[in-house]
Amino acid sequence: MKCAQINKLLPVYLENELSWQEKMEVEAHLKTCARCAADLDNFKKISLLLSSMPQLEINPSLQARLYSIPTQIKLQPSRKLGLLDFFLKPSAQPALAAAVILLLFLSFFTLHPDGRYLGYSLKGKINFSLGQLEKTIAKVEGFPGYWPLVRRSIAHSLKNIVQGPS
Amino acid sequence: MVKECLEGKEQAWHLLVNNFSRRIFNLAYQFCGCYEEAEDLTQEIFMKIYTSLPKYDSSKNLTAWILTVAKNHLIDSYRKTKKEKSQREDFWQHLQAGIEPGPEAEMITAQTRELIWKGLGQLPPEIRLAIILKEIHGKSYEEVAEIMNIPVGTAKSRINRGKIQLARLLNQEVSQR
Repeated sequence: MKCAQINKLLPVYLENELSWQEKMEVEAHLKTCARCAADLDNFKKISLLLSSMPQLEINPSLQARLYSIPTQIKLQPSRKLGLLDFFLKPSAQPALAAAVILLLFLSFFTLHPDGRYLGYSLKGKINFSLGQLEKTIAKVEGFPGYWPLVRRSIAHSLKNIVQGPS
Repeated sequence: MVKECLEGKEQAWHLLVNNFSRRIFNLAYQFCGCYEEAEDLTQEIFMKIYTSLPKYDSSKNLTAWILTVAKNHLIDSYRKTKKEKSQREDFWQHLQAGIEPGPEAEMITAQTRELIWKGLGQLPPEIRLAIILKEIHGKSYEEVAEIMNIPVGTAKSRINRGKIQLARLLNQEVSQR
């Protein structure tokens, strides 16, 4: 391992949280690298310094101010969740996001001029196909016994409904 | 204690303040590095604790809950003010007097103490707070993770990153000598 990699492992090494293999690699490297050994000393120094950081006593005037907090604030009893709180709940966020996307998608059809055109076009295709179907049925009534042609015509009409006129 | 505080018992609130005020004040001071600001932050944190008491879930650890309220307030106030905390007070202004003489104290020079104290202010707030909780307040990785509401692995990596950053500062000092 290179010095940069070892350096990242040193704090973990000091916490004794490395795997056995990593520990062996770090120790072998430390024996041959004075710079990394010096870094290890720095990490030790940092831990020692931070753990021996003096704890200050609190100022009596601040303590008095903290004691008096209940006289300054009146506690509000825990309120029940309102409608707005329900919508603000993190768990409701995915459902709200999905609803927004759905509304956005629908708005393309209902509000956008092209969307309206798409709606009309779809309606036109359905009407055309229904018309074809009606004509076929009329033909069937006019030529009884000619079923293979009728079946093909019905199949053609249904295909038109699904895929549009060819 | 919390139940009695909610019932308005003054003694219970005083007990809570006595138990946690010193810890919260030191946490705030180590985080912001300014004595007066730490006093203000401590008062704000206790106001928040008091107003949040009805929401406290008694099945959870009170110390961890109080430290989480403190952590949220410290990080929020840092983000709101965007005040650069590198302007920390000198180490010896308040802390030097608290160093107990002994072989450990002798091992570390005053200059190094000052350097690390100032270096804490250069760390990103989340990393700084994780280092303070783990190294100064002696919390375990699991406790730091619970207080900071992050996975244990994230707590470990933040603490390590902070230590590496502080070690770089020490190396720079050595190379400048």
